[in-house]
Amino acid sequence: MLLKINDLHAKVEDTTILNGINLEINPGEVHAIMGPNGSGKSTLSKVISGHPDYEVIKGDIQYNINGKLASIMEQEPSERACEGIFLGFQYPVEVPGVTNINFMNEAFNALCEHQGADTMDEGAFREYVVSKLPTLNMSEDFLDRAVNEGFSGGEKKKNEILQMLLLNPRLALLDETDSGLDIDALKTVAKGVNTLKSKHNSIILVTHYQRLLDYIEPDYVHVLWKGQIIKTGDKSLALELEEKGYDWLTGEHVQ
Amino acid sequence: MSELNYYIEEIDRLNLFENLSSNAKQLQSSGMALLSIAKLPTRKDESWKYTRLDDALAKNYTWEKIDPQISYSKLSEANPSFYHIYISEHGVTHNIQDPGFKLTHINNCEDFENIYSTKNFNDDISIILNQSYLTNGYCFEFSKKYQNERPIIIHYNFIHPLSNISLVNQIICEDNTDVDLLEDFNSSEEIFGNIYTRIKLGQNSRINHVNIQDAKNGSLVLQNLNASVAKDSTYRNNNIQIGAKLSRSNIEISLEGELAHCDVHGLYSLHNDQHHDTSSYIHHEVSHTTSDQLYKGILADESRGVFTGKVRVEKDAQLINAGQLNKNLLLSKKAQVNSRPQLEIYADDVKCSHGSTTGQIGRDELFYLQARGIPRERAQAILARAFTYDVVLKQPNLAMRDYIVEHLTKKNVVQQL
Repeated sequence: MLLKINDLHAKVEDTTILNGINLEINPGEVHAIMGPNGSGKSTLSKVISGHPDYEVIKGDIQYNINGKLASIMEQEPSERACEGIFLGFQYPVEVPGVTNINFMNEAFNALCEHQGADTMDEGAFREYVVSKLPTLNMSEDFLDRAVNEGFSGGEKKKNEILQMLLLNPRLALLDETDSGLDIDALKTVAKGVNTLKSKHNSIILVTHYQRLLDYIEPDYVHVLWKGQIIKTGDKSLALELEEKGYDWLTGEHVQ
Repeated sequence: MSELNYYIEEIDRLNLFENLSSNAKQLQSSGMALLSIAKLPTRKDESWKYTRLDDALAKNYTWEKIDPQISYSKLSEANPSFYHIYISEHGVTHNIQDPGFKLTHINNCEDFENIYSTKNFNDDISIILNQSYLTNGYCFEFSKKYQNERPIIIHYNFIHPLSNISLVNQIICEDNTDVDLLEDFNSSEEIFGNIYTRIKLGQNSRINHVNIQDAKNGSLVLQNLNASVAKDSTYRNNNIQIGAKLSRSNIEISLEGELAHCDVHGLYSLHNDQHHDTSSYIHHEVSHTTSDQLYKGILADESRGVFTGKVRVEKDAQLINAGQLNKNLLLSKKAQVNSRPQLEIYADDVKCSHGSTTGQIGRDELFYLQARGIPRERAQAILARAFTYDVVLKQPNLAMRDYIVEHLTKKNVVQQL
C-alpha cells in the first residue's frame, strides 16, 4: 500500500474541515475525490502535503517509505515532497525574482540529494526539461520567466504538470487542476497526467467536475461531504453525479 | 569621560599630520577644533535616533598610517574584466594605463578646500572624525571625454586587528566623461573604517558607482558619500551593505544643473546582531532634475536596519520628479527596521512619491517551494534572493553585477542568479 489515512480530523483556525477521513491507496491507482464546494476536498490534499495552516486534531496519515507504511504527520512539507508526494496547486503561486528553470532545478536537485542521486547542473537540467515540453505544448521561453508571474490560468496549470513530470512523484495530488481550463488546455493537462500514470505512480484527482474524468480514467471515485467520504464507487459514480448532482447523496440541496 | 577623548589624545600624540600640505593641515585642524567640543550623538539627535556609537568607539581603535606611495603594476593575476586599484597599509598599487586617468595622494590634490562641505550632515560625528584624522586619501581624476574601457575596482584590504582606517577620497569627473567604478571595502580583521568620498561630476557625464561594504563581523564602518551632479549628468549609485557589526552610510547628492539625474539603489542584508543605518539626502536644487531611490533590506536574527531618506526640493526647482521606495524583509521575529521617508518640498509643480514596506516572506510562496522538496531554509534563501533581485538588476554593467552577485552569494544572501 502507498497511502493509508485513518480517521483524519483537521481544522484551520477554529473551523473543523475534515471529520474522519479513511482512505487507502495502492501503487498504480487513480482516485478521484469529488464533492461540492466547501466539502473539504482541497483541505485533504493540503493536509497530506503538510500545509502549515491546517492542524490535524485526530487520526493519522501513513505513507510507504522504503517498503513500509510510516506516519508522515511529523514530516515537513519538503520531506514529504522528497519522499515522492506532489501537490499540484489549485492556485499556483507567483514567485517574482525566481526563474522557472532555477526553481525546478532547485526542486529536482533537492529530491536527488534526498535520494542520494547525482544532482544536475543547469545545462543538463535544461535539456531534461526541454524534452518534456512537447507533451504539454509549452515553449522554452517559459523556463526563463519568473515562476508563474504573468502566466495565464492555463499556463499556470500546465506549469504544475510540467513540474510533476520532472519530479516523477509516487503520489500526485492534483487539486482542481482542471478548474478554469478550456477544453484544449484540459486535454493537454490530461495528456501530461496520463504520461505519469504507471503501476508505480498513484494519482489523486481532486475535482469539482466530471469532465476531467473523461480524459483521465479513475479506478475509484469518492464523494466528500462535510469532511467525510460518504460514498465510494467506480467511474460510473462520477457519471451518476454528473446526471443527478450531489443532492441525492447528501440529502440536502448543494451547489 | 567621552569615548571621543581617546581619539583626541591619539591625534595629539601621533602628530603625524606635520607632513600635510598647508591646505590639508588647515582642514585637519578645523576638524580637531570641532572634535574637541563634539559629543557622541544620542537618541535626541534626529539623524542618529536609532544608532548608538558609544560601545563601538569604546574599542579604542588604533589609527593606521597608509604608506603614501602610489605605484603601477601589471597585476597579471587580477581579473582582466576590470582595472584594479589596491589600497592597503602599504600604499596603492594599480594597473590603469590611461592618459585620461590621474591618481594622486590627497596631499598633492588641488581643489579640495571644500571637500567636507555638506548641507545635511553638518556636525555629523563621522565627518568630524574623518576630518580630524585627515592624512590618508586619494584623488581620482578623469579628464574630459574619458570613457572607461573597463570598470575600475578599488579594493580596500586592511589586515590589522582593531585598526582605524580613516580615508578621504575625491573623485573628479570632468565634462563628457563616462566612468564605471566599484569600491570593495572589506577586511580580514575587525576594524574601524571611516571613509569619506567626495564626487564631483561635470556636465554631460555619467558615473556608475558601486559600493560594497563587507568588513569583518564586529567592525565599525562609517561611510560618507557626497556627490554633486552638474547639468545633463547622471550619478548612479548601488550601495551594498553586508558586513561589519555596526555600519552607517550617509549619502548626500546635489542635483545642481538641469537634467541632472541620480539613481540611489541600495541593499542591506544583515544577520546576527548587525546594525546598519542609511541616511540619504537628495537635493533637487534646480528645475528639471530627477531622482530615483530604491532601498531594500533583508534582516535576519536580531539584526536591525534604519533607513532615513530625505528628498529636498528647492523653491525654484519646478518640474522635478523624485521617487523613493524602501522595502524590508524580516526573516526573524527579533529583527527590526525603522524606515523614515521624508519629503521637504518648497516648489509647487513637482512629482514626488515615497513609500515604505516591511514584511516577512510570504507563507504561500514558502509553502510552494517546500511542497516541491526544497527545505525551509533553502526556500527562505531563494525567496530572499528574489527580493534582492530588483536592486541587483538596477546595475547595468554586467561584469559589475556579477561581482555584486558573487559577494552576495558568498554571504549566502542570494543563490546564483
